[in-house]
Amino acid sequence: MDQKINDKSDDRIGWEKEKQNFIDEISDLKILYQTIAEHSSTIENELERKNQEITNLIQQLRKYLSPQLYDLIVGRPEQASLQYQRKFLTIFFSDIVGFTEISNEVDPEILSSVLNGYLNDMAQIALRYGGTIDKFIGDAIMVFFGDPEFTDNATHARDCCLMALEMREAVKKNDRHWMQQGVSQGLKVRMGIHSGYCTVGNFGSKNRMDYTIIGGNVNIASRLESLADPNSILLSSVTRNLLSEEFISHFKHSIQIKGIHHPVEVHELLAYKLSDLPTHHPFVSMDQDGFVIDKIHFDRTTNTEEDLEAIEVALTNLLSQIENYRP
Amino acid sequence: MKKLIAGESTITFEETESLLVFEGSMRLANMKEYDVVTDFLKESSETSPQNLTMDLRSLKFLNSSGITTLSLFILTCKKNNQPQITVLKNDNISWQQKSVTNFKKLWDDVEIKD
Repeated sequence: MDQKINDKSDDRIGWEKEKQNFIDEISDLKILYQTIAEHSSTIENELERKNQEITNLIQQLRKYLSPQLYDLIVGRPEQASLQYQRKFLTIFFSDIVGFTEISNEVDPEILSSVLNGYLNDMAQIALRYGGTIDKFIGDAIMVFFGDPEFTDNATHARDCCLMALEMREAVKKNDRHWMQQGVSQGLKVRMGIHSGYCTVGNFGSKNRMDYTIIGGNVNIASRLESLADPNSILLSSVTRNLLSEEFISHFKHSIQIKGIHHPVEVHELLAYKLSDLPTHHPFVSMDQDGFVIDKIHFDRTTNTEEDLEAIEVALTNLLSQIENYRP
Repeated sequence: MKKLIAGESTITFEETESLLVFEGSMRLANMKEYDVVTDFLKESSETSPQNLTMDLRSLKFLNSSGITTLSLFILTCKKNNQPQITVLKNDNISWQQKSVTNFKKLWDDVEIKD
């Protein structure tokens, strides 16, 4: 009898002990669960913070890349490798006339400010027309059309020429600003455009590569730019032949470029007939054979500063046209 | 000295100092893959039954399976009531700020030092 009671008591003690162990284990598991959950939250929060940092960095990157290239790199990173291909492109070069002299004469802070303002304006225009900004080389700008997005050769040539014409108008506005800022020479820009097959892709090392174009046709565009007069746009006949009749240009001469076996026919791009640029040739209607001067009313008592400037621009343009057409 | 390489992390056991040093990023895929870590910790605790220091100051990342493995190891030590565990943490590493402190909730005898 006593033995039975003792056995029951032992069972009860054993059961109580097991129960306590079970309760302790559940308690430990609760803490373990809590620990893991908190740890996971910490990692998730850290991940979110890092994602935000990456998003911000990508947004910064957007400023330095064309939208097409940005989408290509961000959307399909495997594309950003050392690959290249031959493509027919339209290439644009521009640089500032006498920039070395300007940089020697002008305070570096002012120069930096006006140059960045100018480059920013030009970049905005280039991006609006779908150009890929290849690079800024000091004061020079290199843009191409046809990669990474390809439409057709005529569209690329048209967009590039419209971009150049709008840039020229923007330069005129910048010219006044530069003079107001103390750059006595103001701002004059020369531009060159050529179309042809180039090798396009990522060049460099795996750690540092540039998405750019290379080839003889790139050199032709650069050479045309260097031959252009201040505020004029030179085209090769290849680009000219891709343009519609709405573009007004005239043949200048043929040149021999080092490394190119055939002579290059050079045209000057003057205007686009359907242009809606607000300051484009005020008081002048252009056609492919010449121009017609609209009525100019000069009245020193009523003309505003803007009126006078518009008249001055019109007359300067006309003189330039006449000079260019003279045999 | 014994060393375990676990993915992008290493655990070094200094027997003479009863010291486990964790380094790198511990991100093994699942609990099964953490079996090698569990075994390594178990052997270390058997070699140093009195006390054991876990130096986590250079462990930059630990995933959820990893924290579970370390927590279960703490619970095993608690069940055996040995060895006495000291954890060295680094508050400059975000995951350590809270998770390491939680070891003490698992076993109140765990000592945590910065």
